[in-house]
Amino acid sequence: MRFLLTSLFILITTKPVTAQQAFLTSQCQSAYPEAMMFVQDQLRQRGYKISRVQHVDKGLKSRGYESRRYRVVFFGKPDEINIIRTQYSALIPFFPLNITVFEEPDHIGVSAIDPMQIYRLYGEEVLTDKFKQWSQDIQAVVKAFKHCSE
Amino acid sequence: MHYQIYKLVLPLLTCLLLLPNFAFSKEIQLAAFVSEDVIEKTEAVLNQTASPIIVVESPYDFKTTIQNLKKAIAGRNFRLIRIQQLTQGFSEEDSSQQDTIVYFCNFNLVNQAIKTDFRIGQFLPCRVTVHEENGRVFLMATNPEPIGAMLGHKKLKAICSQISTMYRSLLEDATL
Repeated sequence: MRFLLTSLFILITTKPVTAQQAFLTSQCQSAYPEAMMFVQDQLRQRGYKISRVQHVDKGLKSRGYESRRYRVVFFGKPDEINIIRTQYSALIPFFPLNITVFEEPDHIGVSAIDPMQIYRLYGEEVLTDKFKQWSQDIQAVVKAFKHCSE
Repeated sequence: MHYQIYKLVLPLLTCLLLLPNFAFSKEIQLAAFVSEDVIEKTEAVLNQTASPIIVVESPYDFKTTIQNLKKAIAGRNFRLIRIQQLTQGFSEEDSSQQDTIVYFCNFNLVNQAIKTDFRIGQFLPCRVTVHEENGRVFLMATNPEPIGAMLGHKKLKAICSQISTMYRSLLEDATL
């Protein structure tokens, strides 16, 4: 019986990453411009610089596809981008970090990959504190987004 | 008798149940090509289908590689969106650093992907970074495949695999 319980415990604690853990998402009842502004303000408050907002929906519309507003906010900290570029080039494809802000019929949603998942995929303990910080910051932004209309 | 069966079957069952969990954690070396053994480590990365990045070394110089990548993008009927330095938007333009991101798109794929799952935005628009290190030029892209596997969404997993395959073909075209 003890063995059975131990086995079950190991099984539960080593469960693979689920989509809910890999991606951070939340939603808010708000107008799109306010929601977008909220996300950018939250990022700036945490010391990030917005490098660009990619209007995916505009590109789709220009090609004749119907699309609700779907935009990707790219952000980062200049010194960290430089560290990655010069010392951890294998991480370059994941930077700048980004958050997607999208419009649904009854709400605005945000979605971002948890940087800790990227960290785990690399399987090496490098920049651990940075990854933890990015993860905490993005989690905080996504969590705060629930109250974007307040 | 029953106890003996338990002793034999339970560990076996536990191992079988745990196997997929470990299959997820194929590890690669993060220090990929910061050190001298660039090729070995790049190859190690390439040999891992679950690697978070796709990397190909270009036999051409930096400028020619970007031109080749642009041609490969056009050749596959993708739309080139923009070309920018990695640090653009973060610091003053620095001509000494060359890391360049090439953004491009297949609108049909994007449309299909977004309608399947809004989270795909993490990989949109498609982008390849051209990076120069110690005189060698590399083309790098994120590999959506292992992340798509986490989503638990069959259609999206298929799209992520499609994007990964597209990146590999494109990088191959650009380095021929």
